[in-house]
Amino acid sequence: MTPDELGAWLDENRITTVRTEGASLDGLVLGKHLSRGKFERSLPLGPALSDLVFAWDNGGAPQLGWWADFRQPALGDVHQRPDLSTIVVSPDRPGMANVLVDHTTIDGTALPVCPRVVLRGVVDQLAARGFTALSAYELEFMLFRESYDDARRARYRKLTPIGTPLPLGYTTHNAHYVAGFMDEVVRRLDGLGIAWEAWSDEAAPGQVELNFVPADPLSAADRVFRAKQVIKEVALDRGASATFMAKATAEFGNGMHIHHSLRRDGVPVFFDGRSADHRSAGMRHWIGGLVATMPGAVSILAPTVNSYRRMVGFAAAPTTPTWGEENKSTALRVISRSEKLARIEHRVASADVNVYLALAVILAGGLAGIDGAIEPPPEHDGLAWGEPPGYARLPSSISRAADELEHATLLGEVLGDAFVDYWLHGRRWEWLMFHTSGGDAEATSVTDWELDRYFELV
Amino acid sequence: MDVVLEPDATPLVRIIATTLRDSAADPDVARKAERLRGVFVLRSEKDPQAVTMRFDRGRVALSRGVAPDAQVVVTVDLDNMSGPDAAKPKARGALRHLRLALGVSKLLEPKARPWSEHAHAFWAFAGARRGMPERLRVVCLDDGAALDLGTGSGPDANPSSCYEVHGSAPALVSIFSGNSVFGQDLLEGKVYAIGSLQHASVLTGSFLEWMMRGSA
Repeated sequence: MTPDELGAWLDENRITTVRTEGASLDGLVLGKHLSRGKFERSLPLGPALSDLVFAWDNGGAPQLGWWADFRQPALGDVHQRPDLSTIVVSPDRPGMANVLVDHTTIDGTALPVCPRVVLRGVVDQLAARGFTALSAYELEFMLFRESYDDARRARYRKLTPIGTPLPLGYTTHNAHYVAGFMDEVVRRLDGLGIAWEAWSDEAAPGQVELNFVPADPLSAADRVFRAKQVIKEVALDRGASATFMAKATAEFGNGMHIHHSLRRDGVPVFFDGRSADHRSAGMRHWIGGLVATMPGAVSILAPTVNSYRRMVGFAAAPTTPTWGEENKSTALRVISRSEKLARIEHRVASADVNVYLALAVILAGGLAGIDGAIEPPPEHDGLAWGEPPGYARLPSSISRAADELEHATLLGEVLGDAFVDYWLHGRRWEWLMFHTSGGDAEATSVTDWELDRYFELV
Repeated sequence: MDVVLEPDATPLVRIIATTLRDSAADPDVARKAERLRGVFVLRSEKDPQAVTMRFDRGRVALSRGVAPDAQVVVTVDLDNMSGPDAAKPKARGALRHLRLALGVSKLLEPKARPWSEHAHAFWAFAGARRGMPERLRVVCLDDGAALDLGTGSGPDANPSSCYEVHGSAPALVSIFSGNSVFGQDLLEGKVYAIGSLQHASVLTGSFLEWMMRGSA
């Protein structure tokens, strides 16, 4: 939609309120509810927010310790520049439209730490080499019968999962417990134009997985960003609660597997029918880049202290920087059995991830592999859990992952050093807050500190 | 004294490592510390933070948590360990292991120095870091004494790149010796400042690194 067409569209849909929606570094939805007139007058820059939205943590504390040029020395603003191609009528609030935004400085310069801007930058770098990507997310989350208010009063402990307590997945009996909830979710997704493929109950009590139709990277990330908000709002409206915490209970954690493939001039890059394994050189190098950059990428794919509780052996999450054909214990599940299906499922991210940054760091790793013609390590054809000491492991804590990212020059070149530097400081702040504001460094299961901080927000 | 940290050390482990290394810089203290043997724990009275120190003839291994074989356990308010209004620590096992308790306590409380000495040392460590003010002016509210650190103190000084910290002598000693976090003390009104948020933020980061510099 062009700005010239906006007025007629707002008239036609009787819009009186526009809600802007932009991503914080932690993946929270930031925005304002604007009257129609205010929204139109704010264009093209969009409404202003305090630049503190990129400098406070999930606990509401201002982050001190570093700086970036986009911030103003004595508290300033950033803008939310609407992407009018994403404006839609709200499916549940009559008279309201929702629009996604990119964050900018007050002079309209794209913010180097805006997650949507970071992903767009990586997509542009792919395009400059003639590539387009297709991506699809698998989103896992947990549903509880208690409202957010009741869950908060219970300190998020001993909640009642919606569904049976059996650790099984894909049972229609169990799925029926959440059918009413999910019917409302998909009704709203359809209303927002978000193409979804399937949902099912998953292995942990109360756990659901929602799959999306593949799309270009920015659209794919936009859909999941909006879908997470939809799921939380349906929970709010129905007096239930949903969480995307990586590990909210002692059961299986919430992952976010990201499938992706690459095309050049419309032709799939990953498939080569002439090679014995059907893998092209492009796919090999892409895998090589993903594996080489994986230790640093973990910082973005596992962004919270809680993320690392999911990454233990035999719990469906990868723990090693490995890849394998049709192997769901490795970090990368490679699928190359046909041209139509050729893709990579990146299995490291947890559901608490920032959906834009997760895809950005994955595409950045692959791109680095293509640029550097990086050959992958040998395929891992066994189970990638339970191996003895001495095998390479993924970083096991937010601080170790930050240390890895600090030295991941290949990722910095694609993502931008300004973003990486800012992100690193944020992760080290999160580490500091966990240890110095009540987190238990010796706990082997989820702590009150994590539940209080992440259950409702991530 | 050889200070060895656990892998992926916690902030408290890193801070204690810094304190021990600072103390051991005094040859007399280091000589006495080399005779220490035993397991000493320092724990927070407010939260789960704790550090176990295993002394063994010139080597101390630091790790998180409270070791089950700890001989001395001292519980303190980590936010106010040595201030004039600091609560008295609670100690367990100190009488039975008096030499260990006294020896480690001595290591954990390095000899007091004037705030200006600490400030000079901090500036030598952090003054050239990216984003720091070109000039840091420190003013002691007890006697009005001022210390200018860095460049830009002449008539050509760029006022937007100057930052001032004001506080009582104990408050200045606390932040410049790494006993407390500058940003937190500023928010709590224990010290005062004149300057930009940028410099307050970067200074806080530098003070945090200063507190944990002994973990390298």
